[in-house]
Amino acid sequence: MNDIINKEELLGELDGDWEFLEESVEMLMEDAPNLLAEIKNGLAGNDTEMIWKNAHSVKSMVGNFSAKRAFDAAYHVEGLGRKGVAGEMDIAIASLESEVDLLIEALTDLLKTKQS
Amino acid sequence: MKILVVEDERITRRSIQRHLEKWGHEVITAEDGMVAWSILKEQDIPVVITDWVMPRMDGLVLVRKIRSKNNDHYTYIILLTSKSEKVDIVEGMEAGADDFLSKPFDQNELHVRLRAGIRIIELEQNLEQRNREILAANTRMKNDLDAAATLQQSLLPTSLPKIACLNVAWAYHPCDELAGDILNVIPFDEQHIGVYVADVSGHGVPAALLSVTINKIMDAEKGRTTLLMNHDAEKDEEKIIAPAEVIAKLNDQFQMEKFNHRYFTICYGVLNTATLEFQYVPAGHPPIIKLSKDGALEQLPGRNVAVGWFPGTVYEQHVVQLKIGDRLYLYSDGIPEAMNDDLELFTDNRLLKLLLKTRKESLEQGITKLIHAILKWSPSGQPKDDVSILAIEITNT
Repeated sequence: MNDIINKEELLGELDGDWEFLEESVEMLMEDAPNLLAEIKNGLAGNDTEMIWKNAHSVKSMVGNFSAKRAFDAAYHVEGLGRKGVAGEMDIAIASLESEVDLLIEALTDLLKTKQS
Repeated sequence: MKILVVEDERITRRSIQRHLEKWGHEVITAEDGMVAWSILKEQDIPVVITDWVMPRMDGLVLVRKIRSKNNDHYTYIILLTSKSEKVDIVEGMEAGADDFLSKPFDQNELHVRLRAGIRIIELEQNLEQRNREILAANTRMKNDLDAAATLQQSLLPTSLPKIACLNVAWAYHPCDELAGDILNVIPFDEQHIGVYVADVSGHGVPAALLSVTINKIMDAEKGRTTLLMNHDAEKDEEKIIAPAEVIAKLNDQFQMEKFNHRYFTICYGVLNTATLEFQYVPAGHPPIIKLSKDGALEQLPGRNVAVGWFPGTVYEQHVVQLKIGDRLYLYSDGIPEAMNDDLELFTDNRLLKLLLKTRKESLEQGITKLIHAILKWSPSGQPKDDVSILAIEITNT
């Protein structure tokens, strides 16, 4: 799990507030698909600004979960978007989508450990 | 403390809110710069933590708007940045942000940076409170000074005595609220009139207090012995005390070491309206100017030292025989020593020329023109010293 999220760091930042973690994960699950969809729309419309701004939001969002891989993936997409690089964008976005999925999965598992 | 958190990404927004509330702050949130700006237009919020990249209005524009707003209180702004924006931190600080915080943020770092901001806000609030107190104290002092100035000016001659064969006119322009100059006209009896102009060293309250004291003791009241007049109770007669004796007594009474090293110059004289003899004593004061009907100008002799310098000083008294049409001017050094923007003095020369020029006008008109000339000469129409002048004119009616 520490590969996807740094559990110690995350729980330390939360001060053991599992309720807030649950609330945050719910928001992540609600908001991430919309942001990723906007990023894909940007890709389809060749709108690099739309891509980097939404990637920036994803980056902020996943940064709250000590999720370095997802954060780096969002940072990469944002960087490409800011530079207007379209070439490797589709791969970067797919990678980001995958990292977000993994993050949600890891967080869900983490919440289950508390509930059990 | 009330804190506005501006962040479009709601988990981060909620996370910051949660930390701030845990530390006892009142938190208001906004999802972009536009919403934040509408809140800030309505409320004074001392601390703003704002993201940079946001839809509609970004953090940089918000910071600039806050700084351009004419706030009563300072707003401490922490700009949230992420790794990719660090190169732009200088731009954010130049726009008016006080500090920045990198995302993803560490709660301890947020706490420390916030404490620094709150210290600044509290210092600013303390300073503002002190300023309010100083302003209130200044207002009280100004009101007191205005009241004192009104009181001091009430001591000036209000209705000039109607004396046959004599015109009297005066002008008085303090350089501050209170003046160190004082002048007066003292009608002793049907045949004698006393006049003086005094100028206490320095300005402000101490000089004004001394000038008021001079005014109170330079008094003549029938049936009572004063500094200016002896009352013989047996004969029920009054005798005007010679000016030299009056000034000597003032000198003994007002030695400068007893009055915080303040001294004063004075010119005091008594006119006999029957004989037109004018006895006078200048004490460290500018010379009296005599202007005859035919335009002959003369600075009357006599100088003496100022009152308060040396105990036991004997003051030399002078006498001048006046004629119909003669004018006498007693004035403070604020007139010849008035300085313009180039620090050039008004000088006796300009004073004499102006008096001569207005010789054919009434005494009062001449004095008014002189005062206007002094004010015009002085930077921004405000002389650096008190200006006072008292004039008498012998008439034939």
